[in-house]
Order: sequence, then C-alpha cells, then structure tokens
Amino acid sequence: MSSEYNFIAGNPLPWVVTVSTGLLGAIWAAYDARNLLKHRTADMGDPLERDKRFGYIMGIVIGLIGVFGVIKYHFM
Amino acid sequence: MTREVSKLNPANMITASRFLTLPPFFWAVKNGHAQVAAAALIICGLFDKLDGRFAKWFNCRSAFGELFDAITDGICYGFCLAVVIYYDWAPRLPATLVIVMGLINTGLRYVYAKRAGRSTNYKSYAMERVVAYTAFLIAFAIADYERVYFYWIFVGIMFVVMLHDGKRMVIDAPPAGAAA
Repeated sequence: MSSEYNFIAGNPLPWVVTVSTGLLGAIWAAYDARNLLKHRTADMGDPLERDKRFGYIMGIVIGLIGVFGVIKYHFM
Repeated sequence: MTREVSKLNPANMITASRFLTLPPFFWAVKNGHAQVAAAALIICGLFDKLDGRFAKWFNCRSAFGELFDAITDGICYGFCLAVVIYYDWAPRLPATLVIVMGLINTGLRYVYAKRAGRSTNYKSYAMERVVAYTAFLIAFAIADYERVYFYWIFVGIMFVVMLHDGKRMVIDAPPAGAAA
C-alpha cells in the first residue's frame, strides 16, 4: 500500500510478516516442544500441569500454523 | 510476608500507555497508511512484553497488574480487530467470531474471579499463546497476508482453547493458589 507516511519505500510489510511469522513460529514450536518434553513426567492429576501441557501443545500447533502460512503465501 | 504494591507503579503505567497506540492505529487504518498502523501495533505488542519485565525489575507484581494486563490485551487487540473489520482489511465473519469469543472469554474470566472470591486473573498457558496469535492476526490484515487462512484457523484454535479454559473457569474448582 503506498502512502506519504511510509517509513520504508515499496511494500516491505509482507516480508516483515514473513520473517516475523516464519521465524517466531518455528522458534515457538521448537520452544514449546522442548517444554512439553521437559514436562512429560509431570503428574497429570495436577490441573496446573494439565493446563501447562495443553498450552504447550497449542503453542506447537500455533507455531506450525504460522510456518505453514508463510509457505502457503510464497509457494502455493 | 506479602508486600503492598501501589497500583500506580511503572509496570501498570507501561500497560496503560498501550492505550496511546490506539488513536494512531485507528487514524492510520482509516487513511490507508499500512506502515503507520503496523508501527502502532508493534509498539503496542512490545509494551505488552515490556510491562512484565518492568514488574520483575521494579518488583511490583500484583494480582491487579495481571488482571489489568489481561483487560488491556482484550481492549487493545479487540479495538484493533474491530477497526480492521470496519475498514474491510480483515474477513468479516471469522474476525467478528474472534471478537465474540473474546467477549465470552472475558465473561468467563469474570465468573472465575467471582468464584475465586477475589480479584484474580485466570492463568491460561494456551490463552497466552492465543493472545500472541491475535497480535499477528491484525498484522496479517494490515499486510494483506493469507487473511482467510489465518483468520479461519484462528477461529478453530480459539474455540478449542475457550472450551478448555471455560471448563476450568466455570465447572472445575478454583485451585488453592489462584491469586497470582
């Protein structure tokens, strides 16, 4: 989108979104996969532990959705 | 021993200052200045991360601060979503569903606070991740980036998380250490 208030010439936003979404999505998925592995022996009877586990799984899913979205935008 | 923390502390001020990014965001979207809108959104998101750091650095964490942060998230991202919907930068149906689910979630949090018997925020690891996704959702609208894909998937994700958290907030007994 062109505008007299642009900070950067051209249309850099899709690339900013590509880098931030792709990079953060991948890091996020890896980080939560690590968290999930660390908590695999936790007591699942504890609601807080169950909550954490669910959060980490959602983190992995969201991260992968981001990475797939970037691939979809550029290659599909 | 619990320390009394003033509501007027640096972390809460950082949280409150996020509201200052909303008028520029509105103006930018209304006038088609995508980069300015993106800058306002980035500042709002950075301040969201910064308030937690300030709370640690200045040792001013409080239950009110956590609740205020969650409410500010809802208002800021809800407002930004409403603006991009209104100016047709986001697909209307899924984006409206996101706002409706956000409002339902706020209601569930209120019920939880009532059940817990004190002003406390419901800590949800999954919803923390969903909130971060919301910031990206607005960015996808601004950059015209796979809008339909990201918005519809988000509706599904948020629905699942809301069902999970809703059960914990409304049906299950509040944990003993609910007040953060």
